[in-house]
Amino acid sequence: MKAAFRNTCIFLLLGASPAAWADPATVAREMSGVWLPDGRRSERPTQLPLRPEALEVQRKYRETYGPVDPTIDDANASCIPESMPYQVRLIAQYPFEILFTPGRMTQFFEIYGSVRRIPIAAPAPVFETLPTAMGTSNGRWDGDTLVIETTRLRREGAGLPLGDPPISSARRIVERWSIGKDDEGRKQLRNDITIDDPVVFATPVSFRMLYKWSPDIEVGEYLCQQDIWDQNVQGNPSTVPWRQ
Amino acid sequence: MKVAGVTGLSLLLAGVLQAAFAAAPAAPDFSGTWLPVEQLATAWPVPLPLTTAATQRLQKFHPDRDEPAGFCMPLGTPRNTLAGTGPMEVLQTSDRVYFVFQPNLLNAETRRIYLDGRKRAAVDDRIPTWLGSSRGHWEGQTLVAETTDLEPQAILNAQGLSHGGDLVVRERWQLSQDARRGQVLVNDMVLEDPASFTRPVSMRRVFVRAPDARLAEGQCSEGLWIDRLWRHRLAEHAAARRAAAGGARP
Amino acid sequence: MNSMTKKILALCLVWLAAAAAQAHHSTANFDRNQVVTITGTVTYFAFTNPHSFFDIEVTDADGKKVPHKVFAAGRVLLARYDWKPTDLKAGDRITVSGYPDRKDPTFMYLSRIVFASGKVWERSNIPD
Repeated sequence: MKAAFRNTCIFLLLGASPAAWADPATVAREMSGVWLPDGRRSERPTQLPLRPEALEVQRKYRETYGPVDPTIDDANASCIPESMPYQVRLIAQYPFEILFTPGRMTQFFEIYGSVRRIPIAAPAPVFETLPTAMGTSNGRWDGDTLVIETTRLRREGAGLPLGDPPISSARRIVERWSIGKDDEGRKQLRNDITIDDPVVFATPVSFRMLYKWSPDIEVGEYLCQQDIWDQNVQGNPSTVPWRQ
Repeated sequence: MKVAGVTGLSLLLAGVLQAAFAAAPAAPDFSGTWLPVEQLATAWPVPLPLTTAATQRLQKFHPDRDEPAGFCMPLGTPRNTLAGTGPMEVLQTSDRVYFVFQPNLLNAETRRIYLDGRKRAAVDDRIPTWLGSSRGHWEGQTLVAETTDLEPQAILNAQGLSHGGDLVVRERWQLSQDARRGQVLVNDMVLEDPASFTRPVSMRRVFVRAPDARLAEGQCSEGLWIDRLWRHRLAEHAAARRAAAGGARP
Repeated sequence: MNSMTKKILALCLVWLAAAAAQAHHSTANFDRNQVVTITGTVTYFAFTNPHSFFDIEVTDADGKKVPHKVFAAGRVLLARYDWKPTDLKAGDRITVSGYPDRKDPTFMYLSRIVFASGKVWERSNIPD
């Protein structure tokens, strides 16, 4: 029922995809460039359907470490990048850039300067990779939609303290990226994200991120440790307020 | 009559355009993953042609205190291109060439060479960055690039050689063939900074194709170690809060 | 568009807007229901990422110099939205308004600043 309501909302608000975008090469061209997350229109999952075992892990974590003060106990303040889908459900002001090259989509994020590499229709890698914050991704075209599957996500430094809520090694994220128009007729990038974690979630969690076409800006240089480094160079003339 | 004239003109124009585009050879494709070839790199000149100011800076350098990588800062430009300590990935489209390095940091270093003719920022807007601001164009088969607005805190090598804010890095990138190694990407670089160097410094770096090389998402500190430190800090904060609340558990 | 569709649309917008974008680093310690304004001399300015901040010396009613600290967005954002590198430096006399920290009255989150040049910059310059 909720899904039907959401889908109705989305359909009414955003309209149908234009048929002109059907060809992957055309869609890739339209997706290339700089985008800003649309904080107002994007969805955020509010209730995570934790399984009883995961709720227990969460409860134990909160009992040991809580209550967590987000102004000082924050992964971002410690320069620990969170695992996907953090980078694609960003804070509104930080852009990312999409570049298509043969057989690949690459995403460059201003936050941490992170790079995400998505091979398209590539054969599976022949070697095991360690879990990473970006995970290991594979993409394929489904009509005018780029479908990306990501696994092997790092569990440590998971944004919210590990255990609240937990992340399992079985986590799999599916994204469906497409191009459409917003309610004012401007080009819009859409990402329908589903987080599937059968160890932690009773049901998959789905939500839609929307991004604003931003051709007038460039992805800037954001170095998370720069404030501490700058002070090192200057001989620590002041305290950095959020690094206490 | 008019239609025939317009058609004739269109055909003529089409012919001219076709000839023009046919005459220009396609730019080479540098895309892919490359590994630096140490044996083919040229060394820093000996002795280094340094000004007094640059010499003093070099003498004062203390790796324990002044090495930015120790603070998880990037190598920066041009050290990332000169250092030869890991793979380099090149991503190329019609209007830009990106050189990506990931030297055991969580932060990738992405050098963006724009080919669309954009100008350097106005004087009032210039902010030095570790990667710099780069503009380039094709001269036949050579990518010619100029990089400015480089942060002086980004040292040039592990010995602490440094530059000033007016450093200009000029590069010429081209493909070549090495008898033993096959296709290589050659970078001829010139560093111009009269406040630091008494004459321009030239160096060459050579990269060989390495399609199986991976730019790994490294970490400045191991993720587990960060997690342990962080949990330790969380536990301390939680204990302090409980003590403040009179020892009562939340 | 009929009135039923309009009602559904209105509900949709409320539901989606409620899940608003969060700040990169939590700024929950600042009380956004209050705005304080101070005038003083900048003693230190860090134009940097992930956040910029500056120390400012304010002379109180008794003639005592009280140091304050002002927290602002990171340089990459400030520079993108019209804060020039030369706008603020140590020694400048400025007026700044912001949301005070809930515990520390000498700490605030910048919402508006009048630079020594008279130029005004507002946090709202950075679009949501």
